[in-house]
Amino acid sequence: MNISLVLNGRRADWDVEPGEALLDALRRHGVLSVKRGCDTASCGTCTVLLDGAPVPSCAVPAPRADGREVTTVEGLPEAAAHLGACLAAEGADQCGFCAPGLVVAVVAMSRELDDPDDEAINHYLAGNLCRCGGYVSQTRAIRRYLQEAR
Amino acid sequence: MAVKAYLRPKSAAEALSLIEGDERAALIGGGAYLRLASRGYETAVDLCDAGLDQVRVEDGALRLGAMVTYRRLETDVVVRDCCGGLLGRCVQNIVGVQVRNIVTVGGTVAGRYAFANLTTALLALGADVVLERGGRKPLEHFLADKATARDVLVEVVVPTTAARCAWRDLTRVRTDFAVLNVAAVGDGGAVRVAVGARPGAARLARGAMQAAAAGDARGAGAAAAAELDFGDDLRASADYRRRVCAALVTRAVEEVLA
Repeated sequence: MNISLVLNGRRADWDVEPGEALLDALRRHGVLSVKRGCDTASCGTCTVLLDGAPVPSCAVPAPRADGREVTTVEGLPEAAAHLGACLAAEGADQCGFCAPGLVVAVVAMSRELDDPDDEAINHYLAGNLCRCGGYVSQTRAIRRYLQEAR
Repeated sequence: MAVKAYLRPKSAAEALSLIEGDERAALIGGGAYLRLASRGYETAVDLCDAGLDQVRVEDGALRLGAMVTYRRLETDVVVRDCCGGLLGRCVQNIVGVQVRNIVTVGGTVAGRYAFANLTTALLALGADVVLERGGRKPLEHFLADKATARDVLVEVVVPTTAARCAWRDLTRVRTDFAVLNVAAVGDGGAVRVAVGARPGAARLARGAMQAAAAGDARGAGAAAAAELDFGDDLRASADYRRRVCAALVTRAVEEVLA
């Protein structure tokens, strides 16, 4: 079936399977920053923005994206570069697999929460798992990013 | 069974017409369990365009459309102002923000998921469900019905008269499903107590409600542990759950009576 969405600010007309997840449709169309982690909506590594709200793309049917805006880390180049630099500076960048989903979630958080403290950051990002276990340094990096980006 | 068609009806009535008489068609709610669904279906009916994402207060009741997400329960000021914020509190640690942006009130209630914190809270609040065909009925009756009827859950109606609302759950890690969950709601002289994830579906604990109304929190805990059934699963044993139930019901009722 045909769907039409706005992907990272550009119109995309795709042929998707009725039972296909948005994650699969994105990767099939070359948007490879969106990672397949658990595939059960538990790990956050496939996070994208759907009309601005962070969602697990593995659990969003691709046909639901018809007529809507989807943003991946490719659509957030400034935030990705800035937060990436903060992650590197704080030694929080280990295997990097969770980073694209984390960047998208942090951008969503920065738009939703006003000056979050560590507890609010950790609560908002509880759905972004890091199997390297770099949560302490990640939180430091995110705090740094939020302060610098303000 | 592969999904062959994906439909986005414009109303609950249209959705009902699509699933009526077609056993291969299914409503998909928020879609969080799309990949885990054990029951196959050929036609997915998505309610995202059916206008069921409304939150409103009408005639002293909070009306939550079936497609209202958990995140809305946390962030919507209208919901937060009702029932002491119980509805947002009971879902705020479920997985992460991403999942709470897609999981819906209707998908939870219609799916009759036994682990669902929200169902326990709604039961204690004395909520009703409104079905497109079946009309309005108490959530307690809906949960007891067999899940075979072809119908569309339109909205959940929550009385806003509750004076004090308490929430208690126990999880192995913060974002996991609960080992056991408890909601207690004080409304006038009455206290309603619901216990879920035993691991069976949420039930009212009527003995506990009687003890609570008499001001006996410990008695309420003991009554709930005695009157409800508990089972084993990978999170906890029945015996452990029974003990947890007594403690959590006691604490929840203490909070309501305080």
